[in-house]
Amino acid sequence: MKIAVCVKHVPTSENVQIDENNNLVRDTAESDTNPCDLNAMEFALQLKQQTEGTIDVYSMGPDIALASLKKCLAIGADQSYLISGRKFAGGDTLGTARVLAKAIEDNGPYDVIFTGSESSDGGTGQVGPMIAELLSMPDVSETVAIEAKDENTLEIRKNVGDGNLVLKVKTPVLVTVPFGCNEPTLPTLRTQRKANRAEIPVIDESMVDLDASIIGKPGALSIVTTVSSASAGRTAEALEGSFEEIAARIDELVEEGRA
Amino acid sequence: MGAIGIFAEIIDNTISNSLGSMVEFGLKVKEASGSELVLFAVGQDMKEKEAGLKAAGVDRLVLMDIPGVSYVQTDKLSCAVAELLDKVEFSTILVPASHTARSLFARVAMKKNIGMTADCTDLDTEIIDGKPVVHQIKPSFGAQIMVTCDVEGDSEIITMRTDDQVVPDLSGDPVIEYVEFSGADSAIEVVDFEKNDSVNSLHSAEVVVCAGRGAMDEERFDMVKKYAEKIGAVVAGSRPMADNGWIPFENQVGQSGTVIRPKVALTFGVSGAIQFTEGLKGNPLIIAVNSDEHAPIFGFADYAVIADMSEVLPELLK
Ligand SMILES: Cc1cc2nc3c(=O)[nH]c(=O)nc-3n(C[C@H](O)[C@H](O)[C@H](O)COP(=O)(O)OP(=O)(O)OC[C@H]3O[C@@H](n4cnc5c(N)ncnc54)[C@H](O)[C@@H]3O)c2cc1C
Ligand SMILES: Cc1cc2nc3c(=O)[nH]c(=O)nc-3n(C[C@H](O)[C@H](O)[C@H](O)COP(=O)(O)OP(=O)(O)OC[C@H]3O[C@@H](n4cnc5c(N)ncnc54)[C@H](O)[C@@H]3O)c2cc1C
Repeated sequence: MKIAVCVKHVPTSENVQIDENNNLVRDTAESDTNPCDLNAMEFALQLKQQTEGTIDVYSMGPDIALASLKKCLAIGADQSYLISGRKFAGGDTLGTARVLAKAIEDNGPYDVIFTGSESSDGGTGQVGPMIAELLSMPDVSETVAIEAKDENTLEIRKNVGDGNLVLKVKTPVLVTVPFGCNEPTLPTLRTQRKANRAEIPVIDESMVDLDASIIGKPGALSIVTTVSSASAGRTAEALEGSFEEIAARIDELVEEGRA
Repeated sequence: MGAIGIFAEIIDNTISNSLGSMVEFGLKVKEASGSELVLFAVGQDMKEKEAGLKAAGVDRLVLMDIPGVSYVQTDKLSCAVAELLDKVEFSTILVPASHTARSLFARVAMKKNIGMTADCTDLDTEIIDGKPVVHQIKPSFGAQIMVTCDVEGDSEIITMRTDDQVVPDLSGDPVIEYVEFSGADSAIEVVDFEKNDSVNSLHSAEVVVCAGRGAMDEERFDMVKKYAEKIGAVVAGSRPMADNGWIPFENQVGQSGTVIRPKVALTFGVSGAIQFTEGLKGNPLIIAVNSDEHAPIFGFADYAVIADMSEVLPELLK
């Protein structure tokens, strides 16, 4: 099977400030692969092995996203692509999905596309299903197990809270994968070193044939207008006294609350 | 001016518990804008569900009956919802922020090029130039930052975080209408359901101890676990604790983890980000231990212990 995986490179620091123009200023000094995208990558590796398939990884973002693309190569992807250009920046989920879908379509067709459930920064979870819609394929969210039944049928287990639904799905399909549903493979020193030397092709604005008015900032329809601090101040009653007294009071409260 | 739409999700052929909360949000917008409030749903056996959807304050029910459809067939359902939207003009569409509804409406948003804002906790409606504008409020990353989003265009889709304990008042008398679905196939077939045999004890726990990044230390976490054992509590935690493998992911409390309803919750070294507090529902008694007197958790908890947990835990373990 021909498999694509979308991987977002996200800032890991939660140090966020608000500047004088009410913009979120994020400390981007530290960044890493969006956690659940590695769970998605893990299922891609399982399917690759099961079907003798190939994996292409896509990340849209600035050059720092190369780190995630190289990590994916080191754990078993065959090819990585960086999608990068100023016109792609500042988009909402509609614009982001359009660019990713177009790049994937141009290199396709793929049998299975994986995304994470949601990013740890924007966190909307909308990008995956939007890509599926653009590429006219079904999407399955909350995927916790996946297995190929034949060339064009997958058996997917979808978590629905109190259990899993077992689904039979015709390919092509887009699958979104939540954090924690499998143990991601990690690169070894050797595979990472090899991946670091890989040339990663860049898909730029000139290569993505989309009207500039429907992507990036001009295409964005859901727009953050204000940012505010929601600190409510302290409303809790402070427990005072010696630590012994505080501990005794906590014991009392727990017993009262439990009753 | 279009109507305000509320999507009533039908899960497993049953009306979702999010309905009560969704109607509250819809009524709030209706009150400020004066627009018509329309509840719409797609699913099977809709006739039987009418009574369960007649929420007070709703002006009109628009239903689409699709025999045999499952709520996970978002490919097919998105075609159905798109057809329904051709028949009813909505300016605002409110959708519960469940995995299936967000996937369904992300597809609809793309089909119709409608802006979509995710995971809102509140709405603020204002009349600008005679037209209602619904500001969408939601938490953002970082401890206590809220962002407000607006959607450009004639229509908007907003997913709302709901409190599924809110029971709808079903004494309404809305006009009921059916819209025909022209049909579409789904590539998804439901073949089986496997019930979890190991229910997460966190969901039934009366007392929960939540460890945060402040407890990310062998010695401190060890004391937290011992204390939980002493009082018969289940250990849960914040996202950093799950991300770093200190607790299993199933025991992460919050927006992207689990929602719990204990009677008592104690937090140790949790700052109180809204994505965490979203997971503590049902109004439990909350005791927070944090060394920072300005920690946002103290705006959420009932009792504050402003101290280093390394000083408090040994006393609690005595
Ligand atoms: C605080 C905040 C709130 C926002 N709210 C909204 C909103 O409500 N509506 C809206 O339309 N936009 C919103 N945005 C903008 C949105 O975050 C961006 O459009 C972003 O590029 C994609 O959305 P996401 O991070 O939510 O992705 P998600 O949909 O959460 O991502 C799901 C998966 O899609 C894949 N993916 C996503 N982005 C990329 C990428 N760049 N490269 C490769 N794979 C990727 C990954 O596999 C990821 O796991 C918001 C941004 C911020 C900062
Ligand atoms: C889309 C999205 C979804 C998210 N989902 C979730 C979620 O489901 N669950 C979740 O928890 N988070 C979630 N988050 C992350 C959330 O924003 C916070 O970053 C996170 O909750 C912080 O965890 P924390 O309180 O453990 O850590 P921190 O914010 O780092 O707080 C640690 C606290 O410990 C205190 N402390 C340190 N040492 C001690 C000591 N010795 N004694 C006492 N106190 C001490 C500090 O004063 C501080 O207040 C999400 C974020 C996003 C963007």
